[in-house]
Amino acid sequence: MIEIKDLCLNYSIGDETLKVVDVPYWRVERGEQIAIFGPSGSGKSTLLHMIAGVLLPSSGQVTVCGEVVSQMSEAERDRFRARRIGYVFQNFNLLSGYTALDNVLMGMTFCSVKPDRKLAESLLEQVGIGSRLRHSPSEMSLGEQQRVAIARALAKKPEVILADEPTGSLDPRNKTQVVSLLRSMCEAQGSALVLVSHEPDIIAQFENRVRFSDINRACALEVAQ
Amino acid sequence: MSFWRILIHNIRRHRFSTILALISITLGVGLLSAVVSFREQSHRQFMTEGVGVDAILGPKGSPLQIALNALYHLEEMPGKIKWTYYEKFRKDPLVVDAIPFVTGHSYADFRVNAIDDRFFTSFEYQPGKRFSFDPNAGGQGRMFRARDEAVAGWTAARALGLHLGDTFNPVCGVHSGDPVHAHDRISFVGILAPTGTPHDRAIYIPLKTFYTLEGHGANVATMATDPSQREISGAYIKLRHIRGGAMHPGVQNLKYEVDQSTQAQLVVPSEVIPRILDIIGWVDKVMFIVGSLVTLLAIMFLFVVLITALREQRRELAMMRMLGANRRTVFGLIISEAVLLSIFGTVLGITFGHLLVAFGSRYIAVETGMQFSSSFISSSDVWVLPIITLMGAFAGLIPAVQAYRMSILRNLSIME
Repeated sequence: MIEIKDLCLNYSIGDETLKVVDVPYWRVERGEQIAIFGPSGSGKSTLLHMIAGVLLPSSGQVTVCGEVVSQMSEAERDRFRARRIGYVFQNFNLLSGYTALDNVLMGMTFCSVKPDRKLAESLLEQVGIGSRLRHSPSEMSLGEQQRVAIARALAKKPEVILADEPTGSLDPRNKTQVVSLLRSMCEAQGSALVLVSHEPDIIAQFENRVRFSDINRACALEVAQ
Repeated sequence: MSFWRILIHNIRRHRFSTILALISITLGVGLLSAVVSFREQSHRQFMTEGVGVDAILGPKGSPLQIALNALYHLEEMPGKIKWTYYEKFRKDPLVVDAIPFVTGHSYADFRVNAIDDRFFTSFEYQPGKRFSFDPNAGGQGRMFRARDEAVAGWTAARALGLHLGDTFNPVCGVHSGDPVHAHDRISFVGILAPTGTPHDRAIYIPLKTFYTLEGHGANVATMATDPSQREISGAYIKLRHIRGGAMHPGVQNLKYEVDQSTQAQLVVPSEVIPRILDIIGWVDKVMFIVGSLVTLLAIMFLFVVLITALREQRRELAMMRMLGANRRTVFGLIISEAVLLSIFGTVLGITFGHLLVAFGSRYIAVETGMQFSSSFISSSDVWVLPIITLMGAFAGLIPAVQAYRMSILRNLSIME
């Protein structure tokens, strides 16, 4: 499903080159749910961006569903993201001028499938926002906004859901509920879930969990130093 | 969510500035459209319509002044010509018809011209078109038959609220404060059907009435009975044409002879009118420049609106990119918004321009007798839409390129 080989990302700061990500090999199977944990700023989100094709690695290869993302052109990566990737952000990134329903429909707009209003309504029902379809994000609580974001990420039935600190802005009760919801819905759709977090209680909900420094040599080096 | 729905949504998000941009484009395009329409309609009327004569036999003086007075009821005649000279000229084989007139009187700001009654029977104000009193065409009554009868042009009658049987005392002159012929009460017996020419804004009395008006002095009174003493302001002339409509080649010689005489000159409107257009040309040049500047400012305002809107929408556009929208889609959203607003503003502007013409034509008709139609399709109605659309697209280009090149991560602020 997701296969990473010799993945490196370097940043140049003046004359110096800073290695942010250095993952020799890592793999996520179809439908697998895995949590990556590690301190903030360790490069977890950067890894997700490279999997989603938003960021290109300095070297190495990212393959998702048999497609080598790291060798695609930008237009191909846009199409790839539209078809295969659902993304959940810490700050939700809902489109503020749109209703909850429109936000979910927007999640289907750019993939090849025609936006399905009934599916969008059904997803919002499943995440518990069925009575607030016409409400805009500003009229919702943070927990409700994240539920809409989850429905949007799942709307196009992607093979991979990437969740980047999805509970970072939520209160403890909502944190548990949102992660449970995300996991159950991914399981129902058969989507693989890669969640990154620095919160131990969130990580504890996953059977498969990976310390980021275990797969990222750059991070391990930093820890050792 | 279709592309168009996202586009409409984006426009609605900054509707206040969008409406201001639309109003600016509408005003600019409306002004341009009206100026071009007035210019083209007036040129058409000056050059091809409303003249009705091949030449004017007039006194010595400015040919432009003669044309303005004889055809547009403006200015004053620079002098008079002898009736005997007119009679001699009329007998030239190249002269098909000659209708004498005397100008210099007025009533309530409308000129009162004394004219031969053949003006109503044989004069063609446009090729094949003669004056009519037909009520179906908007006319009333009949032509004058007696000394104290008058006919009003359609615009004059409408502006003064004239009815058949109404009476007036002509003013001896065309300026306020000129003496009134207080003992000469003349009644209206006819109102001409509208012709769309300056002839609509004059009042006509019989030629001989001029010579018998009280207060003109003994020398003028003599003219009524003694043709050898009679003077006229001028005469509308129809000249002989050859096959194909061109003027007979002998006309140039005739004109030369008349112009060389000490008594009169032959003014050919098609030679003089371009000078009138030159004189009024600066007005529409200024108006055209003003209209162009307003339109240009409107397009610049559209650019500012788009740039500002882009700043507000960066996160949303980045999010759309994250959801799989490609660069061309976000580029298309901005360009389409610019083009859509330009098209909509231009269509509104053209409509506004036609309304301006409709509004302005009422006043211009009263002031000049020229008729302007709000349904006239000017050349600007054709070129303004593609040009403003192109300018609008150009205004949208920089914001669209910025949207095309923007970084997803930087605008989402999600980078760790």
